[in-house]
Amino acid sequence: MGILIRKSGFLSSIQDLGRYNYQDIGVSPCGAMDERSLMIANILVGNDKNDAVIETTMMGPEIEFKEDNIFAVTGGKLELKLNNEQIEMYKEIQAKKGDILSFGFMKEGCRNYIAFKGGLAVNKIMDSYSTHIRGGFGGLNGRKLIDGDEIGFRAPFKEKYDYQFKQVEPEDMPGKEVKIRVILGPEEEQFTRKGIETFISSPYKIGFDSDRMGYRMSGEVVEHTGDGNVISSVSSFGTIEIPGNGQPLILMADRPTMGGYAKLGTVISVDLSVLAQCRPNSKIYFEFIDVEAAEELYIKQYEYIESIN
Amino acid sequence: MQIKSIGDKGLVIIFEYKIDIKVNQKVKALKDAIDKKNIKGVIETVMSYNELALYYRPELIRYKNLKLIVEETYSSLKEEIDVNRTGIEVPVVYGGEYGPDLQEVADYEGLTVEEVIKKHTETYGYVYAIGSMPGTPYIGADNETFKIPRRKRPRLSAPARSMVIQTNQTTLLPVDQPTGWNIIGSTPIEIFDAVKENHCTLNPGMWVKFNYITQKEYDEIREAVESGTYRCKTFSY
Repeated sequence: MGILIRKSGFLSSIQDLGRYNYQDIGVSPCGAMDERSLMIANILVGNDKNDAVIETTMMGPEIEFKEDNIFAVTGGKLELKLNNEQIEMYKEIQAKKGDILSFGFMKEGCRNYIAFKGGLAVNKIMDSYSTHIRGGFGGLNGRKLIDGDEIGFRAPFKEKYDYQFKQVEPEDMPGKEVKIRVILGPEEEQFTRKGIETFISSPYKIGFDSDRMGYRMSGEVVEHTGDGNVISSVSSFGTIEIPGNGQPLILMADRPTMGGYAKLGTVISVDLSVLAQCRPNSKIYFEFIDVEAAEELYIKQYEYIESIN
Repeated sequence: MQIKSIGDKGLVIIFEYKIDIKVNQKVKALKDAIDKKNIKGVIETVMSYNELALYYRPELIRYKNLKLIVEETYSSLKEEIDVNRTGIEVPVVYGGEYGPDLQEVADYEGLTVEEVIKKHTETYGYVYAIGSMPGTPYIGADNETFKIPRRKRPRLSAPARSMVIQTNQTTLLPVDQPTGWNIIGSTPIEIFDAVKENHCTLNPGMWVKFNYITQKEYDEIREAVESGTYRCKTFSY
């Protein structure tokens, strides 16, 4: 029952808001790259904002509903079809048994989140539904989705005649040139003044070899005081490590919990959702802001999410 | 001791910049004290060689206030931290198919393979942190052991449970993964298990002693590990 993955797409996996409380034993949180879109998808279908969804990348999947249920899709802008009819994103949609959900060409952004009402019938591993792909656990059998996968619904919903289908304004996706705000530190003393100046005054392109572990940036060399290596230190979501070659590496959802390269700063939480929708070859302009301002922006987002809940 | 931000959901306490057991034990003591406090809004604490990171929810607590609580907790710690002296023995098979780099290490150090094994098994290791991959221990030798650096060309894949070294550090790989360190052996024990109660065999602050075992003992221990009956021997150092 549930859904049949007829075509898995480029990289689809089950994620929630990440696996926390185990970073001290080296377990990367994984979870959604774009947490904002994941939460909105869940809220639209009446799930807990942290429930399991399918995260898709660039080329989306083709999904057959084996039983009726409600779903919603958020994230990158593309043509979404249920059978041969175009349907809206950022809206609760009722699917019937036999319906086929297909994803067209991605026009803006790069990741989508598909939430199914009542959630997916997968077990939590270490308190989370997120897939730890490198470690091989969590989500559906610890791996990305493949053609032929079947995933059950935990509590599928059949349409009632007076059901109010929830809808929110679709969100903007980033363009080809994006400003990303960063909190300086904690290893800023590993960089020269010139290096730090370079980092915020020239663009960096997202490399094609970027993935859920990190975005490999290329641009002007960021100058270190030393050789760019440090005693392995703690890394967070969005932490920017810059190894000896002076090219930044933005650590993303599947990052290792610790790393040995100098850490210049960390992308602010609200901009991580933007960054998660930036494609390879996009130009990023970094800018520093202080932690209080970043916390305010985060709280504003938190309040917005609570308001639509 | 410095307190800084790591992003807008992280606070990091940084001690002396060195790989030092006394420094690391201070980090562990602070981690334990903060974990005990159960500060509202703090999700979890993570330690490295000389730092402690706290991840928090800004909607429940702000950096400014969290910093004050951390400073208060730090000042309440004892002056002299008692260095933990308990450890576990980790059985290891050296060389052969399990340790393709063992001869290279011996050649680099100007020793025989037997001398390398002797040195490695006689040295006590200290677990500074668990990181990189689930359960991966960062084990530092209690004294100077080897000089061999990371390999110029990392291996694309080393088998799970491989024991790898570089200079005075040893680690154990939980899964098949790339490595830039030198593969000298393999352990039959499980480094990490996502499903079991005690996910990890090793934890920060523990001591480790590597025990030389034969292929036969390796197979026997492996069987016991898989059936859930194996327990690592503990010791006091």
